[in-house]
Amino acid sequence: DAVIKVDHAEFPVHKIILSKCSRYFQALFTNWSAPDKKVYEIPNLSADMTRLIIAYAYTNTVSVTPSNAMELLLAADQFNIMGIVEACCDLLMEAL
Amino acid sequence: FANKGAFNSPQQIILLRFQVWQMDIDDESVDRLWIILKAAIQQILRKDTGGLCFSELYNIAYMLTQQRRAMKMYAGLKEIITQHLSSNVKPEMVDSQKNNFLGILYKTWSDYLVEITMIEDIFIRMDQIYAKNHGMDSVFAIGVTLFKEQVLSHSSIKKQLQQLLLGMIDQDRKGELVDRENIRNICKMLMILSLDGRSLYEEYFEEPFLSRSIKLFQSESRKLLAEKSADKYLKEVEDRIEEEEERALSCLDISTGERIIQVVEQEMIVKHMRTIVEMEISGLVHMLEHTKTQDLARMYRLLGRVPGGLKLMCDCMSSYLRQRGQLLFSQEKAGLNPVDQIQNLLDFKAQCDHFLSESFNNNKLCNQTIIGEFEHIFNLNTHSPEYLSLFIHDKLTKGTKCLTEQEVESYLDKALMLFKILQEKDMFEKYYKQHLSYRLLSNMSVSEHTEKSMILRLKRECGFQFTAKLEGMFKDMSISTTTMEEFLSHIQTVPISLSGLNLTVKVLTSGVWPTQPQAPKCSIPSIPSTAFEVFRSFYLAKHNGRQLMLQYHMGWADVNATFYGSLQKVNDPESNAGGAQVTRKHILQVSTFQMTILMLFNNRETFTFKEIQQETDIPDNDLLRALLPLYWGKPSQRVLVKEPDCKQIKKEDIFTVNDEFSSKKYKVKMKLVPGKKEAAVPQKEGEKTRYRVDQERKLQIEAAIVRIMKSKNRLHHRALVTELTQQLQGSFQPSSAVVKTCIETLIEKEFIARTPEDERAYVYIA
Repeated sequence: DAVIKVDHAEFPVHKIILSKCSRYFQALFTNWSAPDKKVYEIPNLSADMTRLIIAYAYTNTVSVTPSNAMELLLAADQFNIMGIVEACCDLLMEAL
Repeated sequence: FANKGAFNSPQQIILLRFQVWQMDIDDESVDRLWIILKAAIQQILRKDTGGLCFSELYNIAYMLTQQRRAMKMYAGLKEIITQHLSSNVKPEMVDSQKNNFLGILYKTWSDYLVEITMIEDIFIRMDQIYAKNHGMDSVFAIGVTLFKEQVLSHSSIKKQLQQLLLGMIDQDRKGELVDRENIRNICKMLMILSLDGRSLYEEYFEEPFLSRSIKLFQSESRKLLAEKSADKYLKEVEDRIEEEEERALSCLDISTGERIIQVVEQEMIVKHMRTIVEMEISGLVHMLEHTKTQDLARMYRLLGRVPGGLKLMCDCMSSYLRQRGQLLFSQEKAGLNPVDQIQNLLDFKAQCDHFLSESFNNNKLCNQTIIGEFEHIFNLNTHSPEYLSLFIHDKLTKGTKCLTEQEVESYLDKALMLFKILQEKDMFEKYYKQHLSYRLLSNMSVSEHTEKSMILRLKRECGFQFTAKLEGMFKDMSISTTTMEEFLSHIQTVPISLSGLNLTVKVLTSGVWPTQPQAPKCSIPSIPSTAFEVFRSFYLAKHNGRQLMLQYHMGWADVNATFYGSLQKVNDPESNAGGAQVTRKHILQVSTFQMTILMLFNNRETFTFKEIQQETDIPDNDLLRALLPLYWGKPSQRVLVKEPDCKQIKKEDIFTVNDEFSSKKYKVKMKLVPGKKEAAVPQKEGEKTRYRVDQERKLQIEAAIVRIMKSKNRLHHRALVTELTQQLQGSFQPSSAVVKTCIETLIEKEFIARTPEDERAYVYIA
């Protein structure tokens, strides 16, 4: 019921699903939004990261690789997605 | 940090992280960003959120947090909110005290709540990183606390809030129309303002509410008690509880429900329950006496809620039951028919059980109280074992009662209930044996099946030993039936005449039946005695080495009687006008003694008492008892006439056959002397039974002591008595005096001895 716009890419999503995994999206969709608002522009987020975050919101799994871990960590941290933050930290700790 | 390759070494990662935090911004930029945030917060508090972009504000707050500027934001935020509350919200609330204060307060609060939530959203990151790690309030908590400090704690606002809220509840209690929504909202607000606890809710509302309620309930109680009506009082209390519960549920915080109910319980039940239960004319006793099942149920429900309530009720019920039961079933009421007395007791029990199931929800304590009191009442009366047996006797005796089998069974069940609480079970067994033997030998038992079902009940309750003798009696009966059949076919094969007499013999095993060791003597007429001798030789031929003894006092006979006199009763509507029959034949059902007496008159017209005595050889007591129903009763139904015509018998009194004897029935049953039958075993017999029981008990006690001492070897007196009581409780409760004499006996007999070091301890002597 909503569309996320990042970097000229658009992702159709359900508000409730994103709200569940992120306080950021929860705030964005509820207190700070009219109920009928559909399109949300998110600055400072790449399409790749958005794809991963949305996948995580729907499946509760995220594919963290050494190559994307850092970027994903930063994005997840900013958007308050604790599950991903943890997954990235785990991977990075192992690498240490 | 654009390095997308695999991390090769730890150093590389640390380096990368460093780069992130190295992206520092200068103080000037920080100030600039903060000014944006500050303006946004102020806008939000002014409810002017049109141009604000969440993502932007969030990102700024996020960045400032990352740049360790959280402290600055935190302090600034607090200042802005405080400023807003003290200069905008508070004056507004103070101003609106006249008009719909609570409504406005709630509106202000709920708006504020939305604002705080939006601000909180912006500062998610700060809450997470800064406040949490430094143990400081979250943004939301700051908002709530500031509202409390700046607005609610203002004395006039607080006072106004309390007054209005309590006033509304007062109105609601009086049944006036009140905006309950409003009450609920304010309570909800107070709970949120209490943050995790409920301190503010308690301070602003609950405490004054409860203390006001206490006063109200106290005066209400006083007013109600003055009316002296326990049932009304209880109804009011129950309504009150329901009402308060409903109010708490629908407009207060849910946790208050329990508390306000506690206040009701304390003020209206606990403080006055004794007064209520013991209230004259309407209290518990009144309810029990007048079968106020509903009122009792209500009392049970209400008193059951508070500690000690049920106990109080049961105590009161206890003393009532005891009084009432003793009135119903006391020793002094010996005049009353024992069967009726038992029935009265059972009716009373049924009534109590009705209360138990309908009013007391089958509560365990109540049940125990009832059973305990019945046990007390029932065992207080030393006649109980006899009466109970008579009661069962009455139900199992054939007669005019026409009970269905189910009815009899239900009576037996009830009797068993009393049997269970009976202490002197051995005593009961003695009586039961007597009554059972009467039923079996006089052929008066209602049915063998029912008899056996009663025995089965007793067996289930007390075990095989208890009913062994009773079952032996049945065995004798059935063996006798077979023996008689064999006897009848035997006499047809041998040339022996019984002179037209139908002989029925029941062979009873001695010891099983309540026979008297020495049966009263009696010289029975030659015809029956010859017949019996025939049987005796038949029986002894079959069973070598046995002994047969006639129990005259237990026999009975059907005697053909012919009366020759004319009926002279003119006013008898049933007699023919012409003349009365001259001879009338009847069959008289009599005892063996009576048969012996009556058959004397076949030889001669008159006998004096002394002559009867000499001819029959019957002992005086039995003779008097046998004679009385023959000459004393309704004049027309006297078989014999005595000269002089009085109840008392002297040696010279003369007896003749009453030829004017008349009866509508062909078969006439001679009533036995009342007392021999069910009205009551004559006192003497009762005493005899008791004496015999006492002797048997002594033996039982002695045997038990020896058993116990043998297994324990050495025991203190008190321990011995405890053990003894436990072993014997199935049949009776030994009195301490009897136990002592038994111990003395055993010491004399050198089964046990006192220990030299302690007089009160015993050792077993092998």
